[in-house]
Amino acid sequence: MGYNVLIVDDSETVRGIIAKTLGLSGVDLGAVRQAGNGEEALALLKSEPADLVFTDINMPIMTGIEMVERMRADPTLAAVPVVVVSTEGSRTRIEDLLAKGVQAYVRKPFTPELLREVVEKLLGGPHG
Amino acid sequence: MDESTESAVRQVFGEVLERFAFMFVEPPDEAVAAPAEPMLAARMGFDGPLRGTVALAVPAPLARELAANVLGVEPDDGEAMPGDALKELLNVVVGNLLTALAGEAPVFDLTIPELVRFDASHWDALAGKQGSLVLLVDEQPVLLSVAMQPA
Repeated sequence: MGYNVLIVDDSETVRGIIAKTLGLSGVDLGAVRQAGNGEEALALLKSEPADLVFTDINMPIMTGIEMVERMRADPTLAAVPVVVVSTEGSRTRIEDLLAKGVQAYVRKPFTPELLREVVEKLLGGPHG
Repeated sequence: MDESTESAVRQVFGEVLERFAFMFVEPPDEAVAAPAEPMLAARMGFDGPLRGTVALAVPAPLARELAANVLGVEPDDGEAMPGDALKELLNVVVGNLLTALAGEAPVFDLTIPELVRFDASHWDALAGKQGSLVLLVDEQPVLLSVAMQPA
């Protein structure tokens, strides 16, 4: 059984890039699901739990930050780690994201090795 | 665009394209005319210590190649969305360019990249202008136009 991952981004291409890069990373993956915004993601997480969420920040309907805030307020989702994937380079903004309950930040463009490193750091190495 | 800004633009565009899409950028040996093929172009704005817009125009076949490369599919695969891939490339270039120019301390607000109509007349109007760079990507011409000023 690999890690179940949810990828949240309003761009289908970006979701595809993250999924492809995760596939190349060597991480033991289970189901890789996708959502187009925070609202869709919360609905999916309720029906099909994930071990890890990768999300964009700026999305229509519900942003990544609002999604994280709602996850942290929901006891069933509060412990699910969230990784923001963005082009954001401002230290101030990244610190703000971490303060809001995001566990890690990945800056684009990213490599399979970097995604693997982040997953292993958050989920504790190869899946048993 | 002064010399150091132009150098940063070239370096960031080259590095991002190589890491993002496994494509390589070269300066042209001589003046490059507007591509004969239809073009795709995307534009986005930024606001912070520096304020402005960046536009990127590429021939349609190159946009298809870009989309295929980033997704690891064939160029004619229905999964590859050239416009979406071009917008994402621009988004990544602008994010990295702002860090290269202003460092990691400032906060910038970025607009969502949008596709814009672009043809040979737009290319000709922009290509010789201050702030525009014509480069070759996999031997196909691309136009990168940066307009910025201190806020």
